[in-house]
Amino acid sequence: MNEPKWLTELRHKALSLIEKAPSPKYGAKINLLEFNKSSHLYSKVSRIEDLPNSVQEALERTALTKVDSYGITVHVDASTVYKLLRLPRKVTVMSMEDALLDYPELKKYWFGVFPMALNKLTLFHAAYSRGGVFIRIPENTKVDKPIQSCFIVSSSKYAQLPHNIIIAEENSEAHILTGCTAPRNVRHALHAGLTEVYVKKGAKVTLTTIEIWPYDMHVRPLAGVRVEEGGEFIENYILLKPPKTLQAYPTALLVGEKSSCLMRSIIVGLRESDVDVGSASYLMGSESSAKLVSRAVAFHESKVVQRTKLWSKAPLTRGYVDCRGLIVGEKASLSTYPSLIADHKESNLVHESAIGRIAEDELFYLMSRGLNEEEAIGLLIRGFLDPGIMDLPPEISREIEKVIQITAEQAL
Amino acid sequence: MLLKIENLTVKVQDKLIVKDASLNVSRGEIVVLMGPNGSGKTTLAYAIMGHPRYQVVKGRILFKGEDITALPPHERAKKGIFLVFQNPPEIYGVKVKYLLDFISVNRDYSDLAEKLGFSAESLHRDLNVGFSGGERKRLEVLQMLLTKPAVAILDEPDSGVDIDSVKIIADAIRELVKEDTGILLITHYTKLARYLSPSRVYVMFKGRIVTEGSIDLMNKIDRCGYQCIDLGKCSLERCFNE
Repeated sequence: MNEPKWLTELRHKALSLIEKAPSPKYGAKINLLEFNKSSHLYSKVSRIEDLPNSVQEALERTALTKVDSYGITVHVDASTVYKLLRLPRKVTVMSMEDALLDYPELKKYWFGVFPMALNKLTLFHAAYSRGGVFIRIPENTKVDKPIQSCFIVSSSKYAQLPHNIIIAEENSEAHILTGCTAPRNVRHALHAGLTEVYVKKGAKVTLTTIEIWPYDMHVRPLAGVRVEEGGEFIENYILLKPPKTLQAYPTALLVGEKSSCLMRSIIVGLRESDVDVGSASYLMGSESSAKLVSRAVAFHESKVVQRTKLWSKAPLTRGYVDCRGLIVGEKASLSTYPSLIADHKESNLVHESAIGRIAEDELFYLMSRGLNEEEAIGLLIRGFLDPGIMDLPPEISREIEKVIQITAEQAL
Repeated sequence: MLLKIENLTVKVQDKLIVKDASLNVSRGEIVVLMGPNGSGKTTLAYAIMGHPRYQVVKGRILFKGEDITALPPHERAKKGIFLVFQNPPEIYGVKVKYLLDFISVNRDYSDLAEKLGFSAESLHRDLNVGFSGGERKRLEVLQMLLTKPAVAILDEPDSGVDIDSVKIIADAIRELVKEDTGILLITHYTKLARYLSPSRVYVMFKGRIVTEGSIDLMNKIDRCGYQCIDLGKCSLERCFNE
């Protein structure tokens, strides 16, 4: 493998630590040894039409190809197979393999915010990661359309472990739109991509992730974010079709003065899926502020956990958690675990959470206007999850709304 | 007969709210149902529309001769029954536009919406969220006009709104009547009802329809109030004939 020496050494170190490391704290237990760490490499194609049909269909389900954007990179298993980018000057988007050779300074960003030795899974990722995307927005550059990438797991039993790094230099701005999916015939595979985001002074990064999984998958997205002075990080995490098990807990460190983050998630639990999605923010810079918003709907027999954590460690920090769940399935289960911690007396942290069911009067009202029960419940669920607040490109918003409505109607 | 309510008894949970109520509405006719707060008017309206919590234990609802007592609300709506809610719910995340598009089956309604005070921009608001009393009523009336129902039940469209909104509502009712819609207007004020010159007035009290009559009945209600019935000091007939 052609990679920098420091990385090979780091992989060896990670391997040596795995055995003694704890298992991940949250989410369903999985046995990492069951997954293959290598797959055959896919060759690059020059047109999306040249990708295998199953991969094309998976890509289309994410709706990314419909968006007016600065182009897209498509990653199948460990290979970057397609790249069409019309980027503004000096904006860098490249496959991680190439970036590691071209940018020696990546060493300090590699596990620069995410703790490598957190648990067995993160060490597994560190030891075996392949592929990923590197995005760098230069100083004072505002990228006005999304930069997109799509990660597709195409081999059964494969562990897809891309490592992504996003660097927004001072006063830059960008929207990174990512799709994660797999063709429907993929069985018992793992996706555990790791994304590290660096939001420098005065920069603004929006990271939107749309996940649409076939059922027989295990998914563990890992994400760490570092926000400097006056920087702003916005995350939209949208789980439209859950796999059998999923656990995610993106964490933003607001290290700079007056830095801020807004982390929103839309979570749909279906069938017997076990979904554990949280978000956490550490308010470390004075006057930093964080808002965490979570909406979950549990259908069928799904088990959904919503976690939120705000930890204030600096003066004049503000944090707000808005966490709501809707339980629809007769045998579904929903839990929310909010946590507010203040290590500084000048902190103001607020938490609101609620779990409820479909309101009968709202349902009757919509039915009195001629919507049948399925349509009315679908509309209420769509309204509850309200992707409209995320300010996404209209093509994506429409697609998300459509999928939610259809999912809700089918689930009833 | 367009809408015929026959000896309807309605219970909510275990409480009987409407008792043995009968009334009729014909095409192009305005009928008024009056009564004090808590007399069962809204319960009757919900039962006619098919609210699942309002259980019909006796009697039946006939629409164009067909027994619709067991139909779900959306099927009643599709047959041509429309209910203007007294307190329409706030529904977060559901845009006004979505519902209007659904009701109007993509006919252009922008002029009508504008006339009722809804700009193109306001249609992107969440349904009734943060709406004033008048806005809620006007949105109900707009939906009623777009639906062009065979029969419209209006549950206190005149409560809590300013005089301009009352006029808009009255005009809307007249317009529908011209197109042969039957109107069941529920109210406890006589002002709007008088303005519309109804052909018949029913009075409901403690769950029963205690009397019916012409517009004169309203004059008597204005003179005596519902109070005399409440106190049981006199029967309706005597009170009204004094």
